[in-house]
Order: sequence, then C-alpha cells, then structure tokens
Amino acid sequence: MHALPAFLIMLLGVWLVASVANQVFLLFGFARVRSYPNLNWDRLALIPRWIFWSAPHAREWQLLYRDKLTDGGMTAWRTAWTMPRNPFRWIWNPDIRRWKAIVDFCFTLLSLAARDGRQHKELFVSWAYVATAVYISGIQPVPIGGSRQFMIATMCGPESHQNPDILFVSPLFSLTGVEK
Amino acid sequence: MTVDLSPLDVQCVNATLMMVAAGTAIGGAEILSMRQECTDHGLFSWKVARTSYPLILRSHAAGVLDMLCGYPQFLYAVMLQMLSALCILFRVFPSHVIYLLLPILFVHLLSMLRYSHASDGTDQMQTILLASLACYFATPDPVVRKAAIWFISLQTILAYCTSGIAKVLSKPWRQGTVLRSSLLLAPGNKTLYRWMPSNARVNQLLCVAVIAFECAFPLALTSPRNCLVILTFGLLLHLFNAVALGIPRFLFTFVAAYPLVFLSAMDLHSLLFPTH
Repeated sequence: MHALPAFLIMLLGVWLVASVANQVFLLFGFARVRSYPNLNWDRLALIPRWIFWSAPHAREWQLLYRDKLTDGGMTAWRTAWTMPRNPFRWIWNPDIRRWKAIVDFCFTLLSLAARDGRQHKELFVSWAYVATAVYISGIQPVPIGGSRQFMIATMCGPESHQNPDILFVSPLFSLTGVEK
Repeated sequence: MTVDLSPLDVQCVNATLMMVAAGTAIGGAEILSMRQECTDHGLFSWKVARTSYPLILRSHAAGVLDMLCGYPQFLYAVMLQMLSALCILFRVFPSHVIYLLLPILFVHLLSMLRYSHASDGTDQMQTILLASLACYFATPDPVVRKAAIWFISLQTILAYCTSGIAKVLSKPWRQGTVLRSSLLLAPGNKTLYRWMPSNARVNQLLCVAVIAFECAFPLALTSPRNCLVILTFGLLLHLFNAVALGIPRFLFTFVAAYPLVFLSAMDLHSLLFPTH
C-alpha cells in the first residue's frame, strides 16, 4: 500500500477511536460518574461531543443594556437583540448563530460569576465578559463622555409560574475602561 | 480480500457530496448576510476571539491567523468557500472535486477558530463530512474510499447513540418537559408551542420516542430495510427540528450522511449473507 492511502486509513482509524473514547468520557461526565477531561486544546472541536440538546437551559436569557449620560441620568434598559420573525427559518436562519453566540456568552459569564458567588476581578478580563462588553458597546455609539452597562435576565414566559429574574448586572464601562 | 466500489457507492457518495455542498453554500450565505457581526465590534469579532488562544498569540502563527481571520479578509475566505461549494453543486470541474473540497474544509476550520462559541454539533459533523470526503476524493484507492464511507457511517451512529444515552441521563428529557420548554426559547416556533399538547404524559411519550429513536440508531446496520425505516424517522426528526427550532443546518449535515449509513448497512448485509 502506498504512503498516502496508509496515512489516510490510519488517520480515520485514530480519529474514530478518539471519538468513541471521548463519547464514553462525555457520558461518564454527564452522569457525574467521573469528571470529563479538559479538551481545551482541541480548539477546532475535531474530537466530537455528541450530546446535542441533551441538557438545554430551561429559560430564555435576555441581554439588555443601558447608558449613563453625561448629566448623570440613566436611559431605560433596552434589549440588545431579539430573534426576528422569519417564515423561512426552516431553510434559512442566520440568526440561530447569533442566538447561540449570545447564549454562550451568557452561559460562560454566569458560570464564572457563580464560581465565587460574587463578581471577582478575573471575571472582568475573562473572554466571555470582554466579548459581551465589546458586543454591547458596538450595538450603537456610547454617548460622548457617557458609559454603558449590561444585564442578563430571564424573561417572563407564557407559563404562569415563570417570573422574570435578574441574573447578572455589569458595572458601568466605557471603551477606555471600567468605571469605578 | 478485495474491496470494490459499486455504482451505488459512487451515487451515494455523490448524494452526500451534493448535500454537504448545499449546506456549505447556505451556511456561507448566512455568514455573509450578517457580515457586520464579523467586524471588530460584532459577535464574531476576531480581535476578541483571538484572545482565547494565548498559545497561538505567542507564536509566529498569530500573524498568519490575523491575516486569514481578520476583517474583512475572512469574508473573502467565506466567499471562496461558497464558490467552491457552488462549483461542486453545478458539477464544474467534476474530476477535481478534491481541489474544491480542500478550501471548503480549510475555511470551515478557520471559522471554527473564529466563532467557536457559535458552533454546535452541526459544525462538528460538517468537519467529519468534509475531512472524510476529502480522504475519499484524495485517492482512487478503494480501501481508503470504503474506509471514508464507514468512518462517516460510524460517526453518525455514534452521534445519535451518544445523544440518546445522554438524553436518558437527562432528567428533563425523562420527565418529558424538554420539547415544550425548548419551543419557548428564542428560536422555538411559538405557533407549534400552542399546538403542542399540554398533557404531561403525551409530552413524556414524545420525549421517550426521541430517546428511543436515537438509542436504536445502531440498528440501522442490521439490514438495509431496517436502515431505511430508521433513516426515514431521522429525516422526519430533522425536518421537525428545522421547523420547530429553526436549525436547518442539521438537516444538511446529518441527513447528508444518511446515504453512506445505508451503504454501510448494504455492505454489512452482503458480508453476513453473501448471495453466492
């Protein structure tokens, strides 16, 4: 057998074995039998994690923001983004990526914030916080001399027992730094 | 032992290739339609994303990655990816498919770096499909080609089976609350939510049906007939997901693997029950 075919077969074989092993670890982790190994090195997600939609979060998170104006007044909270109505979303839905990104920002941020039960310094240099702050500051220009803050909240659902809840409120920040 | 590829093998691989190309073209068009999110202040800002790769930032690769993933050049890469996918779809350069697949795979991997936080199981399946198809078209060797077909089939079976077992372990799935509550999330179809029965037992039955289907997916290899039945259920599930949760890319990636799962079932059947 030539080198290329042998290499390709070996590549697929190793990939499959690694994938099967990862699913076993994943399921053990999911069942809390043993902790799931850190796969942070696999940034391309080459080793698949096939547990899609097995533990979806039960409530929708909403990302809101408001501005502090130069006169000290605060604007009302505004929604950063809402899913637009799209009758063709079964075949064409770019907004699902937006939603996934925002959900991921919120999830990571809330997990980090819950770790110590308070907002610690590391939180504000974490990727999730920086990404959310950059996104929020880019939605529309921050008033000159003003600053902005964001909030993660759960929405009031159609089920009668679901009440809205505030989960995280960031400090005021401007593009030049966090306001003390 | 000799390995031969039948005309059916070639037809099924081509069907998979076409679906992958269609999914790539639609996915690329989706990214271009929200190109403002790829700017430095967007959700997929490379300036922010690159900070989560400290090792790369300290290496010489940083400059190369900045050049490829920065704005707006990343959008040109996506355009190249779309163009390659369209060439596959319209059978331009049919004998040079590998040279069309490689740029698609390369840009796909770049996008995994650029917006890993917005990626999901569809993107992982897309990686598997693209890499395996690249292996298939890289060489005429029939052993490699069969290996690529089986690799995709086994990964597909592994995907459904793992997901099914994880759902068994998930309390909301066992209780039957997931389907209705998922429709209340932002991508959920609210009209469908209103139509869904509110009876807890019926919802639990629907959830158990999804779990049973996913756990039973390996049975697709038991015979070509069983395979067709299971794949039909799979297609219906993905169509439902596309309508209910607005996730059409699942339809193009997972269903794209179905012709190859069918081929594997045929292979196994002819191996276990040779006709002559």
